[in-house]
Amino acid sequence: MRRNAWLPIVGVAVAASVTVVHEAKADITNSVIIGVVRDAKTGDGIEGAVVIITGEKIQGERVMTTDVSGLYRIANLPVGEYDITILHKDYGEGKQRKGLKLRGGTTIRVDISLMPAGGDKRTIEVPAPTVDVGSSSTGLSVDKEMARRVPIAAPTGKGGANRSFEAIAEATPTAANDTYGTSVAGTTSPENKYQIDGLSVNDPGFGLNGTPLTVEFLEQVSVESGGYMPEYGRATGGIVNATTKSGSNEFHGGVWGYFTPGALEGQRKYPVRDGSTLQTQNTLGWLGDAGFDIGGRIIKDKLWFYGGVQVSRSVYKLNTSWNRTIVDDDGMPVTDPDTTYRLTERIPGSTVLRKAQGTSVQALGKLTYAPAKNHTLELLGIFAPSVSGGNGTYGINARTGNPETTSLQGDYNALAHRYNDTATDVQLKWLANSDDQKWNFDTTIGWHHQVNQRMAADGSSLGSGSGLSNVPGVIYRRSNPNHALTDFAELPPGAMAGACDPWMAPGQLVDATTICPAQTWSTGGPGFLWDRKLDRLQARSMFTRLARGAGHHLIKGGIDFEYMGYNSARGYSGGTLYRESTSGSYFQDYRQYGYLTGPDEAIVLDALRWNVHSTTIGGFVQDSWAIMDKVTLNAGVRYDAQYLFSGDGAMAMALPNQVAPRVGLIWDPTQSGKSKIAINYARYFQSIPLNLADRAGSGEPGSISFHDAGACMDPSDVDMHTGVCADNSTRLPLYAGDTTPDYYWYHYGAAKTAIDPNLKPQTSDDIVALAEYEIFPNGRLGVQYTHRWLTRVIEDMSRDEATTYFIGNPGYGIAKDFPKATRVYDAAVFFLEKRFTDHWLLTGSYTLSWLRGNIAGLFRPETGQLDPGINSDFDLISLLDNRTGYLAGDTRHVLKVFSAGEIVVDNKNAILLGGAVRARSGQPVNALGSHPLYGSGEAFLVERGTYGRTPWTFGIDTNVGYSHRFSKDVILSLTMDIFNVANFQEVIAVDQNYTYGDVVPIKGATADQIEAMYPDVEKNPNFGNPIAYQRPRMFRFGVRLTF
Amino acid sequence: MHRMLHRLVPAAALAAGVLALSALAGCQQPKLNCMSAHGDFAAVYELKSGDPNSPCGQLPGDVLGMQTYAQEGGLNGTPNYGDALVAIRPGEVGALVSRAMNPAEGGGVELPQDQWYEINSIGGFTAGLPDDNDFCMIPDLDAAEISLPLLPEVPPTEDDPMTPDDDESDPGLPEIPATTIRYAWSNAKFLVSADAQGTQFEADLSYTRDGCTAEYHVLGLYPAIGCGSDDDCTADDNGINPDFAVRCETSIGMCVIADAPPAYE
Repeated sequence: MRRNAWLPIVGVAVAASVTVVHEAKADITNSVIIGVVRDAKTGDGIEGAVVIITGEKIQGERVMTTDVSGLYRIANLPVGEYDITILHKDYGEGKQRKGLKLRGGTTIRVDISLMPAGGDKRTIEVPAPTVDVGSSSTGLSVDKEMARRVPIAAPTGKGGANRSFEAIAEATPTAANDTYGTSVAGTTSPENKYQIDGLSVNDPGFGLNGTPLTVEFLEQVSVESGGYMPEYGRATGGIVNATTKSGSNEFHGGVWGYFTPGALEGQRKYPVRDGSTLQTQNTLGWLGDAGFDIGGRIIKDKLWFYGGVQVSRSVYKLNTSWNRTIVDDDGMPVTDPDTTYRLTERIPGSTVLRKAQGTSVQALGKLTYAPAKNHTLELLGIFAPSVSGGNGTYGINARTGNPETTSLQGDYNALAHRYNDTATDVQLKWLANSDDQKWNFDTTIGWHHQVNQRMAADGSSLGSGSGLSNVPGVIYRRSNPNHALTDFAELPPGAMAGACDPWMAPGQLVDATTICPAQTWSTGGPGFLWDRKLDRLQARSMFTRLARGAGHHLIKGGIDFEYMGYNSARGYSGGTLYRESTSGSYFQDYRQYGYLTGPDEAIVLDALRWNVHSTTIGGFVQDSWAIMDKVTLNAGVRYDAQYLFSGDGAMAMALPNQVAPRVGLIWDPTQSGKSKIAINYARYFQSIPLNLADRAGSGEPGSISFHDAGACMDPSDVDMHTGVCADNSTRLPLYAGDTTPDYYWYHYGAAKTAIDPNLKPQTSDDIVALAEYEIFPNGRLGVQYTHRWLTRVIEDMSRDEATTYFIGNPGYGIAKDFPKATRVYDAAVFFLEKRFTDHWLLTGSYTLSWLRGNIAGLFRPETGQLDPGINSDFDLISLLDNRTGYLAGDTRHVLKVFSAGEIVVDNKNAILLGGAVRARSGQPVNALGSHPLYGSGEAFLVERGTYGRTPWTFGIDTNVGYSHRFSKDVILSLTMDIFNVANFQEVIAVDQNYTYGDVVPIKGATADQIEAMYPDVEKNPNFGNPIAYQRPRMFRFGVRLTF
Repeated sequence: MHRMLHRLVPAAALAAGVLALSALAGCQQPKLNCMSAHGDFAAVYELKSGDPNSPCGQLPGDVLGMQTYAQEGGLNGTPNYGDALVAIRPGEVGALVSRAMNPAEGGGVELPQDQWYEINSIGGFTAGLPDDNDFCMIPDLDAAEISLPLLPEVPPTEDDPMTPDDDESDPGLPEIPATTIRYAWSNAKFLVSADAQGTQFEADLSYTRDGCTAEYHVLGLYPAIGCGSDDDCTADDNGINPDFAVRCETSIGMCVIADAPPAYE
């Protein structure tokens, strides 16, 4: 089934598309071209042929001579388009193959047959290479063509406004969006390694993507989803690598603008809830970005530059309205007979428009310098500040990309914050090759810096002692009777006065019914504030060596060092967040940093400040051995050692001896680069984010007392807070028992969390098998199977119901009486990929997968808790039952098809078309209860993930555009993306809280017995009802001028 | 020159890496600071000296409430975990104080609130970290002494037949004569490791009540779990570390450590 193309040689560009926009260059340098130069008549390899690789993306040329078997192998090539020229004295000169497209991290085989001099000099045999014959890993790479032409990154959620690279990663067959980014192969997004040009930009504190760089500055985004080699480490998820563009000898650049208007948003479906007085409807205001980039030369063949700036803005509308309870003639609330919800009616004129909005700027600059032959230096700088909230608007949660609050049950000053989230990256890279191309060196040093601040809406920051940051927050929540909303907030001026006056029985002055109740209301100051500064210093040096011996070897090795620092300051405005009791008779210090130095001798901290750090040192060696040039064996091992240090500088956790073997076997049955069959085993270790060293490793002292609401009437009043509320005479006794040394106070967390002396690092293994075949030029069909499982997990546990904790490996060591942590992912993927040639591209995949276990990963999807290594998964013995089952990411069927094409009208005009179709089966639903200590959503009342599934969802996104070529390099294009064309409004999430009542799970309870097994709990009337629908139809308009 | 650099840089980096690795090799997980478990211990008392027939020589054991208090002096206003006090509060006298402070149970007596702290014995650890055998010591604790007035009898309450859903019956409380009780703890020793976070305890107790003094040796186990037989103490999920050697002390109806700390199976 070998398909060869006989092509004219010199001067013929193969597969160059009319609209390939010449842009700056990439620097991912790990692609390889291999092949055999043969005598076209005899088929024997030709020794001593000179193979010259040239391309816009390398300064100068790369040269190698074929060996005795005719084989050549040129490694460490950047992403881009290349020409190959073959020279041999006996076979004529100047044989050339042009326009060879190379993606990042791939090995492409190009066999070339030469006719002896005197034969047909003008032809060489060139198989079209698409299959990566050097790799047994799975994943996807999205180049700038695909990123631009296919509507992948939707204008929603994280990275929605600026179209960041992690949003693109979702196109990978086994990837899916999760709360904090993109989940790969059944893992959670903080387990990924996010890299820009090979260095990690993960948030050192929490593992999320710390630099959400826009795809506009990228040459390519590649995702290694499994089976990857030892050069990639410190992650149990995927490797999401963004490759930035570079300059070249030619000047190229672009100007662009994108705009997603909320006015064209499709009709949204809103969940029906038990009627609350203040109801909020969230819609998109608008999203947009604009920017430019330019690349070119400063000194020809010596010094190139690339740079760009993008500004993006997100505006969400939060429309609130007042709704009063409908009461019958006796003053009793009228309820819906089906849902038992209390019915409400909107008060005319009560709608108030509020906004959540944020602005981001991203600036990138890069210099590429060739100081000498075979040497390249690259200096990359990224500055990406982002601000939101304040001045009457609400902020944007940088972790999710969504408005910080959507229910608005509170005063503006209590709910709104100002955010500053800034990422800065600086990298210096030195690439060197030996003259014979057999040695390559790649040395990089880099610094990633993040500032994440949450301040009060008035701009006052944590611990400043002024403004709102000095005012305690108070959560009111009296039930039976509720407070009236008018106790806290004034009716909007447009509403009729008295519209919320209590209902009174005719002729009575008492027995009133509150028709505008407030179930919960936040007032006072803004509560939790933080000021985080995070650093990651990296130094990495890698070598690549070509060698011979029973075939050919591509040996790579390297060491890298990483320092992470996390300067964490956090606290509560005014030092305390108060919460009213449901009886209304007292206020509790709901959240407060502080400790006791003796019985009832309390010290309250205005903020907790820790400066924690970690060092990781690692190295790897790997060999890609083409055994007798028939079968490739990839084998290697990676070693890492991570040490985390507490706020006091002492060791917090030692994770040495992370030995990660990786081995894979690849066979190309066609022996021509057109197919492969591969199998791979790999072990991965997880780098532990510093949040663990901060919270568990340094201690998080908290203190609680109770205040009589009769005396401490308004704790949000700073004078009362520091006066009467702080006096023991108005505190209520704890009544915690005869043996409690304290009478008023309870304190906790004033210690470091214990670590199992035999703690092992967090590990995951996978086995990947895959087969690919090039079914037509530039198109390949494949199937892959992934089996991936967690072997050891780091988590905290408590044997005594939350009094003391220790960190260990559940099921091992001192935690051997706890269940082992499990997560098993199985997936079969069928895929088809046709690269952008002949004016069209197509990438499609169908994934059949299972995900089972008792831990999702580094965060808890059920509650959103993001405390890597110290989530509540194994915390309490009373919560351990029923936790093993289908995990939140378990989706049986997923279909993704991305396509783009263009219709050439004439040599100046073209119509661009693109589309994405996604279909996925539903996700598992749980029946959850509240735990007396841990609160709602923590208890699995029936086996995990067995209370049915959400329905299938479908999505169709399209892109249409028009491009006009003014001159050879100047092109204007206008595009319109339509996301969710059909405005499907299927349910994507349901309320999983079976009850908000306290309940301990009963082992083995099943969905059909739930009512019999938990007869006494009060069922949440909203259980099983939709809480979220698909995002509505959105239009994104774009204009771009490239030159 | 360039060729040399090719080889020198990775070699130097490798050497630095090996050095860094060897510097860190042998690092172990951190030790926990000295602490007591926070809550109730089940304590069994063994009489060492004193008249076993005297009122003060017959204590079989008790529930001891404990709390650790780290002192000021940590970074940025945080506590210094390496400098901690422990308070011990015996249940026997704690119950009397609670009763004396509650007018309903105290039969009209209302002890001032600040008397609550009188029966806390407080002492400081001699070190911030446990010794090589995982022990933390408190050689001396402040003696705790309280004089309580007579607590009159609280008569029993009958169930109200008009409210069949509620049980209002109460056995009442006996009269307690005015009494003075003194606890003097010494040589307290806690087992502190990741596996036993101050959950095993032993100490000497000098107990004085109204002029009668007895000396005890005390073994304590956290948490305080009630039992009828040894099986109750080895049941899963009762909060006691399953590796501890424990037994049911029927005289107090609670699980206690079978030996002096470290009591492991």
